[in-house]
Amino acid sequence: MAQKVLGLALLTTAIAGCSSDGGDPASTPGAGAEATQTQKERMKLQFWSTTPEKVLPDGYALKTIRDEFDVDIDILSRNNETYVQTLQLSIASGEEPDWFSDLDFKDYDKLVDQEVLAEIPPELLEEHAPKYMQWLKKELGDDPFRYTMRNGKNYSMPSLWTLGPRGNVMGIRQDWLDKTGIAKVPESLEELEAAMLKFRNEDPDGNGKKDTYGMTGKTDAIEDFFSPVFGAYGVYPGIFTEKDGKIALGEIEPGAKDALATLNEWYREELIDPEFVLNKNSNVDDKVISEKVGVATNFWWKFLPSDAFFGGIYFDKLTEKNPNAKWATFSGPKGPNGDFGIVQSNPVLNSGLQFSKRLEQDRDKMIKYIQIFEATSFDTALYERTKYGEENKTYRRADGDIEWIPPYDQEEERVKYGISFFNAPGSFNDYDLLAPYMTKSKHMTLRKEAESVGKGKYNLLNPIQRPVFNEYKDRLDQFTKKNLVDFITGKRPIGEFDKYVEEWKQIGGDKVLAEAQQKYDEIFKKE
Amino acid sequence: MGTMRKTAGEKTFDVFLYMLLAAITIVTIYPFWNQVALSISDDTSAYATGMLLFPKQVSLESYELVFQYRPIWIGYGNTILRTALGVSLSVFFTSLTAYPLSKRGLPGNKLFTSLILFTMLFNGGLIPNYFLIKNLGLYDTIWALVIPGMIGGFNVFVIRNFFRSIPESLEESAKIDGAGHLFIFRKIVIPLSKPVLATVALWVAVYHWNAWFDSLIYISDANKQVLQIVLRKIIVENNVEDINTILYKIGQKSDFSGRQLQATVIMFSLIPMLIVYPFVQKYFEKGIMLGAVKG
Amino acid sequence: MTGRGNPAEKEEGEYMERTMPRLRGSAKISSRRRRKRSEYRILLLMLVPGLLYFLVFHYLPIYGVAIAFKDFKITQGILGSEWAGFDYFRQAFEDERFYVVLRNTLLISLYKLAFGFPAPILFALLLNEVTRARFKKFVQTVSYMPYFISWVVLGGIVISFFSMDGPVNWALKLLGQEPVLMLGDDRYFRGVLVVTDVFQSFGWGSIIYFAAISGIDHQLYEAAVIDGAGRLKRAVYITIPMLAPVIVIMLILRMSHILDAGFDQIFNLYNPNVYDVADIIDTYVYRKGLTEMQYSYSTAIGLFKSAVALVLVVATNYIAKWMGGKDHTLW
Repeated sequence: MAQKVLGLALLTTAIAGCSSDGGDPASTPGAGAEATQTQKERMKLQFWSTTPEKVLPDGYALKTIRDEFDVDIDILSRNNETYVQTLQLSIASGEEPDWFSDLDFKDYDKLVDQEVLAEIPPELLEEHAPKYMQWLKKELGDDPFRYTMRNGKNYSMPSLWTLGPRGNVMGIRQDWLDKTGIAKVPESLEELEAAMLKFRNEDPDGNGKKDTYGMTGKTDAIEDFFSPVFGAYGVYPGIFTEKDGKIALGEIEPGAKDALATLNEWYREELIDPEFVLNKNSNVDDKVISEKVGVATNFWWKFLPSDAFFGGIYFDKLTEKNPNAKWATFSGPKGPNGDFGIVQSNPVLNSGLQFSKRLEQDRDKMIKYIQIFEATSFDTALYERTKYGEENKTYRRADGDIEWIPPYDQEEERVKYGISFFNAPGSFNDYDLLAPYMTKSKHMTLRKEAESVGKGKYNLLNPIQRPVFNEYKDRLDQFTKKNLVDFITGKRPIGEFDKYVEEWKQIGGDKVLAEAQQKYDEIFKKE
Repeated sequence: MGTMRKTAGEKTFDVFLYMLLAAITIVTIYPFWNQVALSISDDTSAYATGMLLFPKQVSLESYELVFQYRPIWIGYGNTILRTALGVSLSVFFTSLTAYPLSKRGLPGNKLFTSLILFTMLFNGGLIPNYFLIKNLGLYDTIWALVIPGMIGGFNVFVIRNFFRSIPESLEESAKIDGAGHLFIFRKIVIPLSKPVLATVALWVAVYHWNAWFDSLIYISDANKQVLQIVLRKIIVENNVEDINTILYKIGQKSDFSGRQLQATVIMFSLIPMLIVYPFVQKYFEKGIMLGAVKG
Repeated sequence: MTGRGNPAEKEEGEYMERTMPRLRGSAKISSRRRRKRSEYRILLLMLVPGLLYFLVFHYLPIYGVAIAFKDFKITQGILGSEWAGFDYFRQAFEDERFYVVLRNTLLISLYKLAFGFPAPILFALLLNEVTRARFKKFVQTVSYMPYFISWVVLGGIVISFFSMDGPVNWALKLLGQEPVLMLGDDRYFRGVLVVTDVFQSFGWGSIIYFAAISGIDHQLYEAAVIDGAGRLKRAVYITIPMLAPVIVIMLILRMSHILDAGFDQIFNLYNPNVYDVADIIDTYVYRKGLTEMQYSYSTAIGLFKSAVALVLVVATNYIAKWMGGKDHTLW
């Protein structure tokens, strides 16, 4: 039952391990709040961890932070499944932790309304977290607080997933192209179709069975519906994008009709796995890895070896099974007008990090937190120490890469020593900064190439509160999904597309569009 | 009953019966079999689509991995404690409650029944219960897991009705001999109710064994977490990152398939239950009512 | 309060107390009454721990249902939140989609009841006829295994079982039929739901019936055999009537979750093709909870479900009594 946003937040968490460390049970949080600054008494700060049993309070990482910032640390336990609920309960009983992060905007808005959040003036952040601010502005421009401001006040430290806007790419089996005699990676829709026809009919995996398809898909979200094909006609299903100053929703644009016609043709040609309707995430991965499809759309790092970035299962697992497998990635097929692109992700995934209202009375503490957040995410020296320990004792540099020195290559030893499960709080991941730690130097060029392939647009309105949208979302979603599936499989003739759009508008769609346009004008046009 | 000879008609019936049951068994055992196969397969077979019956290559690596994962053992300990406590308290108090209610003449019987039924259908939800647990000082203790669900209306009624089916004459003769209700309860009713008590005990045991939500909300100390929390992390969240790092110890390079770990982990949850059940089955043996009725 | 006791009780004080004035010196009656009272006193004392438990852990927190009638804001608490009356209920009943999911919930639940309730009973009866003890134990143990596999995993297994190259379609092809993606077809989806649900739960559900069967006196069977009754007759005239009490109470109690059509199962199996037939109250409320609605709405729906369940439990109880099973009912 993981929510999609939580799922993405988890991914972010996994990528640079951004849950922070926690400690004592939440039954005594009051201790932190009331700590007054005396000469001898240190401030007590709280950090979160999803694996608190692995974070030793006297371990190297925590000790480093304690000494560096002169604070004591409590580790709070965090379980992603009930995180929001437990947090709400603790707020209700007045015992909420000092800070929390990764909440949806809808929860953020509720908390703002109920006045349980501390105001975080931007000037405070400029002063105590300059690198963080720089990182924010790089992606969001000069007004990085536009999404989190409420009534002129800011209550959050925004968090970004900078991989979002360029994350999705289309991958195609290079070895299958070679085998079926296709000289270059397909660029246009027609070329992609031709390649997939061969994938379907010419047994590229050589097992003598006609069990391979061109592509498959899943239907969890409208954005998943073969978005590269829509992108070839210049539309982006499932998200609100901007077109000529107006807001546009991909699935009801005229271009969608053409995309669906193409998909229907491909379906009839058996290029699309007929089970795509049922697929969940794991089925898609299974089908790619067990070589049932030759084309896949996913994050660029999935197509690379794990040590080139993170989690490259399409590469690792596939080559384990079939050492000849090779992937080529591209930004999606080009349509008749030369358009191309894939639905991407808004870098502002959630509302960021907030402080409990208590900290408004304890400015020093808030500042201390901000300083630590800045340092653990943007100060390379500190990052290295908390993540890897002492140079030449627990790790060493070899040819630009980091290597563990035995016995610290064993996880148990690392846990005992106090490193490897400490994660920088707040999910403020600067991937350029982290590059040397995530990518082996031999793969550096590979990574740099791969990460610039992703093109497309993302949902502009994600972080913006839209009550009308929320009200109709479920109904419209289901209606659209069903129709898209029916158009693709041919159950509904493509000629009825305009009718579908009319029906969509009638069941509340035009109200949603009106609200979207209004919000867009409010937030984006005022510049 | 096995000393009778069967007629021809009965013999054919037997054949069909055994065939039908065998078919049912095969279909029923399939998911379990699939998970076993998945858990002992080598890495690449784990991604195969379609039905997995026999892994291409057998490998116990995922078991090794899970065995070394300490939180699982902590979880086991806590779950066993919780289940043992829960079952004993539950069976005791539920039958203690069911017994008076089994006497139709009890003043207020209908009212009590209604009150208990009401609790089966209506409840206040998470928030008031959370505050209750906190205010009673049960937060982060095993009691928060064991007491709230201690007496279930469903079980009360099932046991109560079973008690009602015990012949009155047994009770009457005991009363004549001067026995009070406590004695009757302890020495007559309970021993005769072994099947239903065993069933309820099993229901409660499984409830505790599978419970996870209450633990997530009421327990914050990681050392007190129950097994299902650990398993859920892996199954639902697919949070295999943590467990995968243990792999470096075994010298592996690639990660396990989330699905495969799920399967292994399910074995850890399921197998104890399978071991326990045969012991419970004993209570379902026939011939409980001895010659007591005759006299 | 009483008056429904067995003849033995009727003979004692109660009946006489009501119809006859107290007689002077009727030591027999008053000592009986004393015995009765002290008897009931012990019984009531035995009831105290249970009642205390229900009071503290079920009735104290029940004020939480007020959330359904308030505009609940977590920091204002339940008492502090503004009163909203039946607003959230109205919201639900004015929502067209609500009726669709309600209809689905009822239909799916009824189908599951119709097939899923008798299945464990039949299974217990069939297995009862098996004489080879080890085979019997084996089948029994295997039968309740699926119950322990959560739908998160079982869903994946079911999906591959019904997939285009799965065994079901293989069997269809063998019989000369066209393969069908049943899970993606709104004509078959509910059927798959019911079948797989029964399969997951029949073994577990049969345990109580095994327990009940084990309490049947052997001598009844022996006497029947002597009278020449065959297996069928023995099952119909002995086993089933002896099982009737358990069956009745289980049926009545089952009504208490009539509107739970199986969230876990449906959540893990449903897809856009089958929304219209598979979306139930719980999946609908769950999705709404993801976008916006919070406690108040879902509490209101929960209250609605409980109210319906109450009505059905009482009604089923009444019908059971009317059909002559008055000794086996709830009240």
